[in-house]
Amino acid sequence: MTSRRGAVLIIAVGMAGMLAALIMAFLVRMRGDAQSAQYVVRLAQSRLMLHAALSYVQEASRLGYAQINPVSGLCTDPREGYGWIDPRDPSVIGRAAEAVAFSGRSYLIGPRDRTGNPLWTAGTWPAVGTSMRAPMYRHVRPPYAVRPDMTPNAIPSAESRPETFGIPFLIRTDPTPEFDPSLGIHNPVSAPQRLSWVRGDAEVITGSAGLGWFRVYRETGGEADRPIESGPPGATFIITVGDGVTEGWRDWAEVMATPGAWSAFGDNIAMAASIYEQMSAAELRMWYRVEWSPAVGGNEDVAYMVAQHVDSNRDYHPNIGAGVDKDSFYSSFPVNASGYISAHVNSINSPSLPRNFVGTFRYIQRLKRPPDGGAW
Amino acid sequence: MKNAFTLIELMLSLVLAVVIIGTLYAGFRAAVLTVSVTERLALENRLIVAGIIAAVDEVDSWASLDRPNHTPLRTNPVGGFKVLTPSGWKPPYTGERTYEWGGRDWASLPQPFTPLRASWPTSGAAGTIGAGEDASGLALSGVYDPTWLVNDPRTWYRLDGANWSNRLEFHEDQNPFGNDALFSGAQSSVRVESRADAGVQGDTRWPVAHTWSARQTKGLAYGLGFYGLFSYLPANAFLDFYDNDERPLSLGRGLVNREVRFIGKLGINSQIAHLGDTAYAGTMENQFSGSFHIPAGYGGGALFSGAERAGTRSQWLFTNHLGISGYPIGANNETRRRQLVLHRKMSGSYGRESEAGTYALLLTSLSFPTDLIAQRPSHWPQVTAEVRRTMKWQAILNICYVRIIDPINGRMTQIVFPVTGTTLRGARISRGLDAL
Repeated sequence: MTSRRGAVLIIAVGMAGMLAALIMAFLVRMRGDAQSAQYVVRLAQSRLMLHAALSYVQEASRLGYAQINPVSGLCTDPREGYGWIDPRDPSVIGRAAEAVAFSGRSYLIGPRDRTGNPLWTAGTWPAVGTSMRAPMYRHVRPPYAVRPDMTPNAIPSAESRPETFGIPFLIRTDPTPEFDPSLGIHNPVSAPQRLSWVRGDAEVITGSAGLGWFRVYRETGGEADRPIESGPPGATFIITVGDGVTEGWRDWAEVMATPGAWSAFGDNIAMAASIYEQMSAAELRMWYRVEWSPAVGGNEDVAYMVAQHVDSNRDYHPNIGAGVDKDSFYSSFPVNASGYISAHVNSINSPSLPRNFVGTFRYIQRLKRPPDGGAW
Repeated sequence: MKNAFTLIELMLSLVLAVVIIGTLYAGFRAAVLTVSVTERLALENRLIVAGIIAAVDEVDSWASLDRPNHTPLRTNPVGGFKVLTPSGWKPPYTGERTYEWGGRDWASLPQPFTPLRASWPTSGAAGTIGAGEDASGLALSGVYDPTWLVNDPRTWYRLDGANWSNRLEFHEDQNPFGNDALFSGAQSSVRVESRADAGVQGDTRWPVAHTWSARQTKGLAYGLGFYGLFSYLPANAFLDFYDNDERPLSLGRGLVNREVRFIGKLGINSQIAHLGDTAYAGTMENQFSGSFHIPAGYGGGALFSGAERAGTRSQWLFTNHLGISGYPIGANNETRRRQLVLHRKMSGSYGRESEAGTYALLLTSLSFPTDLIAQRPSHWPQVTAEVRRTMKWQAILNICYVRIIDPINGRMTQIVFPVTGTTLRGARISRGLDAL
């Protein structure tokens, strides 16, 4: 009897061992697959950072220079930039002496305000030859957030709100601002609510940090490895993207050059340096050169296009001579005049096409290696 | 009593043993199969990962179109514009043409990776230049200028873009703003004449005030093809310039708008024609052949950026589409011709659909997948990666296709995703092709 019980035990152990081996094989294989797929995740993360950096360069050409009163939350100085390369003739705005020359042309390096004053301080971003870094993470509530509610004034159902008779009363603002929920229901004239909306909640959401960053260097034109055909200095940028936790610091020396910055990586400098170097080595970093252009990319230019009369039967060009109230080369409907629809050709006279008032990119160039001399 | 099994015990033991062994065998077999399936899935996963990585890398490297030992888009043009004089054209499509029918001159035309030193026409002009004609616009003076500052008056558009480019309406006597060709054009001078019955003005040449913009546009279009033209021009640059004498026509003005403004509305057949097939195969130059289109919901003349009126680069990319293509190693001349025709093509969809039609055909024609593992075991899946580069909806689109095909069960899995990355100009700068 004893030997028979032993045989069963051996068999059971063998089967269990086989199952364990099988599970181990699964786990090992899954881990291998996950590791190989991790590179795809890092690639995607880096490419997202490229998108973010491109958006930043576009928006910073004009936006972000207004001054907000920290107490009232109101904009006290609604300045905007005129682009990284100022599209205005330097002499027209009295800034000829500040113009720079490139390829036989002179221009103003921006961004500058309406009167031509630079919106930067010499030696600091966004001056040429300087860089900025943007470690990416999510705020609990970003400044100026809008509640992701597509229908703040949805038509109420008769059952739930019989007193509205199905009428969509516009009792809530649309879009609806997002502010500290403890401040109650939205009141458009509430100063505390506005201030909360302006400030947001800068607390970082755990788990969103350390996934990616970008940094932007504004080229001077004097970089040794920058071809002259790269475009006018001031309009070209080196975008560096990374998928790791180094927060966009170029190297440890740069970290140490900023007082206290090392503490983000460890409890003491030696430990922080070691962690930074390890994290830096494990990161996927890519470098791009891009040229920003003040040229807008939408169909703003067709606003001048022919305004067709609603009775016009001409599809492709105006009906010249049909009368003063008919089509003309020299009249146009305003942008987004979606109400003017030709009864004959089902056409909308003015376009509602994508616009981009913060400039465009003339090219994107992946660099095979980081620019020489740490110019990134 | 002897310590032994009874027959029943032995029989039961044997039965149980058979059951256990059978179960064990079945379990072992299932385990082996599971391991095999797991290995197979893992192999497929890793191949898909490799395909995605290869496709994303291709977006930046452009290696499938230009790499060491395979440079299908670098040609050695003879210099100067090719100018052909067609026969049988009816007005308003009369005049010199730049490209041969059917893309037969693909090997002698500049292509998107031809260095600008070789593709920018700075001297000489092939073809027929009549006595007294101005050849200066055919052999462009100056060089490619990468600056294009918007505060530079040379970059400004100086024509009347709202004009419908029916040639007769361009006659100076009917043009409310006069002869635009005097303001801007690719040639140094413009032939000025009046209608035959006017009798007040002779046939003379007048200098053109501004030539920089027209020549830059013309040079880029010729030197790089239309994909290159769109990749290099600023977003709001007007694709419109005067060029080419209309001397044979008594009612013609000195110059006519060229290159990208005249696109014929040919109908459904042109959807095939743009691939270089059928009787329309000759349609290498778009001003005579391409089709265009008005997307549903957008009006006709008021919005349309195509044939009749001038439009900006962005406008063109909203209503039209184009692509860039190469050919694989070992391709025959017919394949090469058909692929490189696409560089001188812009297409739309005729009718009221914006995506069906020629864009689908264009995407198909741009497909040259790379087999990542050419030498693989016969039972391994085949994985391919490719990037199809088009311009459409006002944007540059790099559409990655990763495909895995299992030879055992024939199952095909395809992953399609767009990626933002290096543009043609960026790829050319990296290769030093823009240095002058």
